[in-house]
Amino acid sequence: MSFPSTLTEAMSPTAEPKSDLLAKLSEVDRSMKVLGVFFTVCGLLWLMAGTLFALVASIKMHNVDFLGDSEFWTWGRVRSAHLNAMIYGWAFNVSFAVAPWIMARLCRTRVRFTNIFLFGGIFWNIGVVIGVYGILAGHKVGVEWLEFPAYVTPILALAFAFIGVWVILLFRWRQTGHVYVSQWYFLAAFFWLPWLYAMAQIMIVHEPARGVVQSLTNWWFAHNVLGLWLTPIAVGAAYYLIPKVLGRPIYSYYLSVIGFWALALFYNWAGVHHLIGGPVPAWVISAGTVASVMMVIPVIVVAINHHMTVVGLHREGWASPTIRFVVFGAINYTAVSLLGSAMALRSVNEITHFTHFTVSHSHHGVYSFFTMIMFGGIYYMLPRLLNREWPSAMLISLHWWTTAVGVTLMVIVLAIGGFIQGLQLNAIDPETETAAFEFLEVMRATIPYMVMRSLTGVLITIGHVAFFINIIWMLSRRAADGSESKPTLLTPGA
Amino acid sequence: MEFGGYIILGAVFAGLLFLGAAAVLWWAYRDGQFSDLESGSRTIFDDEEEPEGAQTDFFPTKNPEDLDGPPRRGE
Repeated sequence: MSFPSTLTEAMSPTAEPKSDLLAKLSEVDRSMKVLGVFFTVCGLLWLMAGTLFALVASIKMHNVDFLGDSEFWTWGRVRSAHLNAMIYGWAFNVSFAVAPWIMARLCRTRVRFTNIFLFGGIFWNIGVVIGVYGILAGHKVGVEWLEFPAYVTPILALAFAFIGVWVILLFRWRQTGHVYVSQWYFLAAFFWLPWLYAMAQIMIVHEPARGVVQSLTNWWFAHNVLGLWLTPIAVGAAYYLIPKVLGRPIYSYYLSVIGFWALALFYNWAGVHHLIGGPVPAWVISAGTVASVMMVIPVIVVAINHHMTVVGLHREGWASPTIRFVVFGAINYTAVSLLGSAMALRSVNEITHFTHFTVSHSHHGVYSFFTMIMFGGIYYMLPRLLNREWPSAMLISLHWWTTAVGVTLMVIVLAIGGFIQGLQLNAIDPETETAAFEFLEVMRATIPYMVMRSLTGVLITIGHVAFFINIIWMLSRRAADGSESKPTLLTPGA
Repeated sequence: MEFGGYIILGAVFAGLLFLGAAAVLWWAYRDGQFSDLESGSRTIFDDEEEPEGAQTDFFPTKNPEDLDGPPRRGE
């Protein structure tokens, strides 16, 4: 049975008898090779660029003269360049690599018409390059998480349209009856993101809303990029990788389905907790706070499922690079989400808002949770795509220890510094009934924490360099040659 | 655009999203996606290449046999 030759034919509901086209996993892997490697390498390059921007921005927080002579490297630009390079460069590219690959494996189909996806990917990265350059050149939009200049929007929207349509087609081509929970998460993410992005671009950039509606839209979008794009991608990947690597089905599949629908129901409302204390109708804030607290349901469900799947197999998990990274990410998903629910309470938010505590929380979510799971995904995916082993266990270990320790210390340091900063900002002198600390005093008190953040950033950078070397080394090697090492149980020619 | 315009725009998008989610949930129910969930959790395994009960990822220099591990893929 041959494949349908045209896109229209391939989309026809009667085009494909299932028994003839059910692909082996190794066949699926081979068909995803070009796409997986392309997006992994693009993501890797953005990870390195974003790390450089992060280091510069971090050093400037305690050494303001650092690279102070060039307008390209002023803090306001380089910090936004860091954020956008990491989100639209690293996080999106690695999502485009890992999620469709897992989707293709679950669909058990050899992928087709990959040029559609590749075309979208090339345009996406061209858009991000122009966007980051635009930010550094001073053309940025002054809205957090949407800093790319307005002229980049059509490029990114068009690119994502190609990518999104291809992923939907991939699901259409599935040769399996059951839709696994990871597929639910991925499909939802690929539907949710264009909705978020279109609404935010219309209401903030192209037909800007006035007043608090703009702020509400901003935080609805920014919070949901994490909650309705990065979270379903990472949770979906964890739901596949943990049972797959350990060879044990997920503890409770019932819970996983409940978790998905609870996320879909509650997360969309939660972003407005970023505006607690702002001139926003009280009922809007209350709705956001309630939804944030309700997020405890899907979070606990996922935590129970992941923990109970791994329990009793800790030794085996430690022997797997994938499981080390993914379980670290899964644990931090629980931690960051519960902390986020607590931060949505007015009494807590009054202290943590406008402080480094929020920065700690962002890195906890995007790095400790999302990025670590994606690292695990790449450690599992690349050997299968390339049919070759990782060249250096030492570099994997170095990557793991430096990033795990580095980001944990960073999150703790910023949380402590931010909490103290919040207490000082709110402190009232009982005698004069005015602010107990001058603003400059409060800022100066944060400097030791900023220095420590830079040091933890150096640690994470070492890990990224190790990861970079290992991938480049791996790409330059020959395919599996029957060597003794066997991290992925690959056999020559398999 | 006036405030009312945003409300209408938001309501249309939100309505479409809600209807879409309801339709997907209905399709999943009709298609039997929720009828036998526990066997669904085993669909990620493959008897030939990555079977249930077999660990499929190790550090490069570690020997899977040290962990009483599974046979290599293809064996």
